[in-house]
Amino acid sequence: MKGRGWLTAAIVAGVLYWSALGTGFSLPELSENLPAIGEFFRKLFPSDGKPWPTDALPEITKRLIETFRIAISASLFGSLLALPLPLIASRTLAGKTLYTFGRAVLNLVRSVPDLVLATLLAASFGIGPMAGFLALLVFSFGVVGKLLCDSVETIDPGPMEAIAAAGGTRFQQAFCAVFPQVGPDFLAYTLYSFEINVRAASVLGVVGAGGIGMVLQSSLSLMKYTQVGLVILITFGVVFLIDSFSTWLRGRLV
Amino acid sequence: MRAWRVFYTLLVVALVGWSLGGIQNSAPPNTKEIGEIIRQMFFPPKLSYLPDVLTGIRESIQIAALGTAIAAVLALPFGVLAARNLARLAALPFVGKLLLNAIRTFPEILLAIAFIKSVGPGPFAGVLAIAIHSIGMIGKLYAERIETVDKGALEALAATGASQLEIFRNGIVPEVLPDFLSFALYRFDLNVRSASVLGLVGAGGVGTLLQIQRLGGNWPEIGVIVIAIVVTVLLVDFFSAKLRAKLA
Repeated sequence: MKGRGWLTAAIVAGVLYWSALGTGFSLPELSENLPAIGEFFRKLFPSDGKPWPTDALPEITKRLIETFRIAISASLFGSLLALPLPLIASRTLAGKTLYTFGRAVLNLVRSVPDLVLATLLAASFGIGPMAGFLALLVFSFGVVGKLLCDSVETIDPGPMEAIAAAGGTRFQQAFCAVFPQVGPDFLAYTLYSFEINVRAASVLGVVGAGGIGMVLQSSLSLMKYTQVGLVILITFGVVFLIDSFSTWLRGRLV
Repeated sequence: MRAWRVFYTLLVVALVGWSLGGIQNSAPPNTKEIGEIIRQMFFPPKLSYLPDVLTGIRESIQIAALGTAIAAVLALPFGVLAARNLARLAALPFVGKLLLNAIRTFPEILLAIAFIKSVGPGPFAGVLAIAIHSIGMIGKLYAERIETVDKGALEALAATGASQLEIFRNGIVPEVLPDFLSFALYRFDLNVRSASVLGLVGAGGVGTLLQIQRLGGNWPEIGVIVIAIVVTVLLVDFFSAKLRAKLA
């Protein structure tokens, strides 16, 4: 055991050394750059008694609202689309071949990072919230679908068997015995995907997919750093509040 | 009860209607064009571009590995601070958890942009962004794990006259270490995914290529990049789950 511990440590050390070489990361380099990092964060705040750039507030509010619209509709429609997934991707309701296929598709969908998807969609649909909406829709579909299928696999099989014994079809089993049992779970997963989507939607704009990230991107390229600071503070504050509220609500659901 | 249900349903429907109303693009999507884009991306995949993409993937994995390792170390004091059973002051775990939540909520893309603007574009900024952002989740998992440590063993150690440090080193560390490694490994998994997109804002890795090809509208190259990212994410996911099962 002791020998294996050392071996693992040696492998980890080797991988980290290799990574440090590949990324040009070193402690001297870091300490050399620390002042520049501090300087950047200082620039985000107004200095010499200058005020915050409040003239940007209408645009910020508009894009912030767009962020929520993207997150809300993507989470809801993604989750609704995921609702029939247990029929093809849960061991409880699907046959073995269908199950393997369904799970493979779900894994594939979930493995595409949302920003990659948003980038592609923005490039093909054009700049705007539509790309963000579709990217997060796919994300919600994947994550809610997976969690819902996992949930369906752990239900009490009694009611299902009773319906089957009475001659009920697979669909009747699904609607009368399975879905009622996972209802609260489904709501909790929808909320969970909403939390992640609010966070994601607030940065999607940096690849042109709508939301508050668009203001961030334009203020950055115009080098209006206090405006960047204001956007970050407002976004972060609001996202934090929504996140906490949603977590609290989820706790009450389960 | 029933009336409330109707009310909530209507509320949700209204919210969604309002939300959908805000999602319009200036130009309607052209379905024919999208079919053509997909054909160019994947049929057939442009394999001659693969070597370049693999170099990018390697850099993404390096960014993720180093970032995760730094976060796993930096998260230790946060985990100890936020654990309820180690606290001398009741307020400390509360502050610790709030701090960790704040770190976790701050999007790593924003961190990456901040580091790029201060230290310049490249993988160095990516490592920093991932290292800082990951502290939030790893620290929270550490704290929750420390909170489940068997109290009896700690009291037994204290009864033998062990100092606080000795109790920590002999009572807590051996018990939580395998799980801590497992958390770091799990986060590495997520970070490989992040490190493959950070390049979109200039923080190194395979995302850098995606950004370049996107601006040029080179769909065959983009197709290979997407395939490589998906395969990498799936593979890392698979091996990390295997390793974690062994650790448990």
